[in-house]
Amino acid sequence: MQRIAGLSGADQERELVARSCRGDTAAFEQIYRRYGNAVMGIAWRLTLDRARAEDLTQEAFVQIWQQLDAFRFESALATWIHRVATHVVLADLRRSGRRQRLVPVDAEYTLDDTAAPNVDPAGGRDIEQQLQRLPERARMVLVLHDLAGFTHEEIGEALEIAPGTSKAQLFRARRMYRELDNEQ
Amino acid sequence: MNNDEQTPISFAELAPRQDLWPGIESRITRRRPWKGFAVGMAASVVVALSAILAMPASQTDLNLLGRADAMLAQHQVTVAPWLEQPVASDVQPALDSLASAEMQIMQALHNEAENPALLRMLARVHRQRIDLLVKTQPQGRYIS
Repeated sequence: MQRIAGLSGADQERELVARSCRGDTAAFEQIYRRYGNAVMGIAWRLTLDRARAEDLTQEAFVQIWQQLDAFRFESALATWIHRVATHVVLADLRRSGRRQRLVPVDAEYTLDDTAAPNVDPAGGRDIEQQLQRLPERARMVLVLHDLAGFTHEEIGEALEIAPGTSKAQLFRARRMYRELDNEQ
Repeated sequence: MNNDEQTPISFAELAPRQDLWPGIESRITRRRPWKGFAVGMAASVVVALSAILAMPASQTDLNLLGRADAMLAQHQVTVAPWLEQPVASDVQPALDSLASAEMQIMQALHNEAENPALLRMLARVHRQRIDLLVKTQPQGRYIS
């Protein structure tokens, strides 16, 4: 990571954003180097498909480049990038119709309810197998809240569920995740 | 409620199998149009937007939200050259208003994805932004 002499971390980011908005791709590359792996983590955990997650990470950074001049530093750059990336992934999932396969809103699930998600056999199996074993909605709520920083209201809008349902699913998902993690 | 349910999960970052930057760079780096092509470009964008609007969803295989995403992406590419340099201070409030309207329409589309009037409103906002930029920045943001 290139450092910009004499600037604090926040000022460096402002400088990188300003330069990127002026078309400086080298500055934008530094933003990508800083946040690319975090975006990849979000994309993979929402899709469980490594190749698709890589495509969506690329798409997310193209969108970030295009929308960067709308970023007003009202939140941390990381937060804003996570949100843009998450919306890119959710839009892709919506277009592909995957969300239609989600379990009914109020369906109960147990640790045995582990219908196999779409796991990429080439690269996904060795990473966080406990996450792959969570029911899809529980996984998405967990990732949207704990990784992407969405509120329950925002998750409710994204997944078309009530905020209270999101909250309940999050608590269960965390417990299940840790139970599965302990089994590893 | 125990601690397992209340404490957020801490996820590690995940590196892609290959460097994604070259692909990103090739997509964001484009040849700049010639100076003076701004008005013609704007007109062509209006035509493109109209074409997107006119396409039935069955043809595009996208729902309204997908079409809105496509319009937004196209529009952002189009206006980016104008916005690469500082905009006149008296123009900025109007641009901010248009950005706010655009954001509200996109949010409404997320909530009401089957309402075609929202798509038309989005196209209108985009036309207004292009009109504003063409009128106030006639030299364009295009750098040869």
